[in-house]
Amino acid sequence: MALIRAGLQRLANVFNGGQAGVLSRFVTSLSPVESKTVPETTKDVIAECNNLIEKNASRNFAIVHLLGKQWRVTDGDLLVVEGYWPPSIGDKIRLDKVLVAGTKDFSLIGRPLVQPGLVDVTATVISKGLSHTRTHFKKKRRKQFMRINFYRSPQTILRINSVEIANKINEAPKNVF
Amino acid sequence: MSAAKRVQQWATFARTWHIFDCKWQDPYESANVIKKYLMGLHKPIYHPMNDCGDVVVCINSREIALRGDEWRKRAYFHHTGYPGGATWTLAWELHNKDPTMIIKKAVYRAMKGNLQRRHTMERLLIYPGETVPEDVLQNVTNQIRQTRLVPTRLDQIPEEVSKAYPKVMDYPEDYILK
Amino acid sequence: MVFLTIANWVRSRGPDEFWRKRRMFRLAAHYIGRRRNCYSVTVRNVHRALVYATKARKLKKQDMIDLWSTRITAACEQHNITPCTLKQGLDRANIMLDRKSLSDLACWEPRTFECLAAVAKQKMEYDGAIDYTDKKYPTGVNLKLQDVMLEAWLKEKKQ
Repeated sequence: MALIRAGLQRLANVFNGGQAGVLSRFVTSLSPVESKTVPETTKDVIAECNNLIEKNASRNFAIVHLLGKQWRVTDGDLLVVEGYWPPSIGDKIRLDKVLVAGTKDFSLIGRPLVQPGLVDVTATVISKGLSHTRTHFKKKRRKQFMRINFYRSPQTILRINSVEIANKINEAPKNVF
Repeated sequence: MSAAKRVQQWATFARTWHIFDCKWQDPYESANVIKKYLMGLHKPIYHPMNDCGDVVVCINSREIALRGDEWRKRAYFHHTGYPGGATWTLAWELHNKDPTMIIKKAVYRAMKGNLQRRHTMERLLIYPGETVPEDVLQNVTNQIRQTRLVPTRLDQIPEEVSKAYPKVMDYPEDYILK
Repeated sequence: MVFLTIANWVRSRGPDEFWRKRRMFRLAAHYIGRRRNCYSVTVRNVHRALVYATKARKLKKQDMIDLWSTRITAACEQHNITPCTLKQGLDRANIMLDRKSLSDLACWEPRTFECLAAVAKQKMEYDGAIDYTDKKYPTGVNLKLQDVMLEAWLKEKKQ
C-alpha cells in the first residue's frame, strides 16, 4: 500500500513540475483556497482601541436603527425619515439604537446593540414636511376601470450632528439615563 | 476632488485582467463563473449602471469537455432570414469550424439580454490554444479557479514512470491484447 | 379668478375641455412627436406612464433588495463564506444587521464586513453548525477573538 502511495506521489510530482506552459506563472488549477491568518498580535487590543478613542483620530460611523430602518450615518449626514414621527423642528435627539459603530481602525459590533452610552449619535430635526405628490393610478384595459389618487407622506429631515465614541470600551457606563 | 481621491477612484474602477484555463471544463458551467467576472458581479461595488466589469482571457478553448454525448446531440441554430435559411450545426461541427465559438456562445447566453451584453462580450478574449499575444498576457494579474479537475491522460505520462509504477498483476504470457 | 390674458379668460368660461386636456399635456411635456401634441395619443401614453410609475414604486424596493443581495454575495465570496452561512452566523450571534446595512458595510466599510464574516464563521464553529464535509466551509480570515474578548459572548446561547 505504501508503495502505491509513494508511486502516486511521484506521479503527482511529475505532473506538477512538468507542466510548463502559460500557466506556469500562476497557481496550479484547483489548489486549495488559502486561509489567511492574521499576524500574531501581542498588544492588548482593548487598550489600544481605548487609546485610539482618546486620541479621536478619525471620523466615526455608526449604523443606527431608526423607525424600523437601519441607517449608516456619519458626521454631517442628512437623513430623510418617511412616515409619521412625532419630533418637531429644532429637537435635538440622541439616536440610542446603535448596531455597529466604527472608526478607521476598529469597529464595535453590538449584539444587537452596543452598550448604552458607549456611542453617542446626536441629531437635530431640521425640517418637517411632506414628500412630493405621488400619483396612485390604476387602469384596466377594456373594462372601463380607472382610479386615481394622490398622496403625500410626511417626511422629517434629520441632520446628524456628531457620531462620537463617548466612553471607553469595557468600562462601566456613565449614568446616562 | 483631490489628487489622492482621484487616484483612489481610478484604482477602484480599474479593470483587472483574469485568465481562465478552459481545458477539460464544461463550457456551460464555466460560463456562469466567467460571466460573474465579466459583469463585475464579484465586486461589492457592483451596480448595473456602473462599469465595473473585468476582462477575462480564456485559453485552451479547443480542449473543452462537454457532458455525456452532447458533442453529438447539441445543435446550434442559425437562421439567415430567408425562407429555408435555417441551419442546425452540431456541437462537434461548430467546434471544428471555430474552436472558440462554443464557449463564446455559452457566455453570451449566460448573460441577460440587454444593451450591455454586447459591450460586455467585447471584454471576453478567447484563444483556442495556449498561445496568447504578449500584450494581452502581460496585463493578466489573476487566475480564475477551474470548476473541475483536469484529468491526466495515460499517453501524457512518461513511459519510464508508467513502467516503474507498482503493478497489481501482470498479464499472462499468452494473453492477447486487443 | 384672475386672468392676465384675454385668451385664458375666454377659455375659462366654456366647458373645461381645454383645461382637462391641458392637464394631460402638462404631464406629457417632455415627450416627443405626436405623443406630446395629439391628445388622443397623449392620453394613452400618459395613462400608461402613470400605471408604470405606480407599479414601479413597489418594484424599486424589490430591485434594491436584489442589488443588496448581489453585493453581499460578492463580498462573502471574497471571504470564502456563503451569504447563507453569514446570515445564520450573525443571527446566532444576535447581530441584527439587515441586508441594506450589510451591503453598505461591504461596499464602504470592507474591514468591518471582514470582521463580521469572521465573527459569523467563529460562531458557526462554536455552535457546531458547520458540516465539515461541506465544501462551503468558510476558510476566510481568522480573527483572534480572544484578544477582543468576544469568546465569552459568542459561546453564550441566544435567548
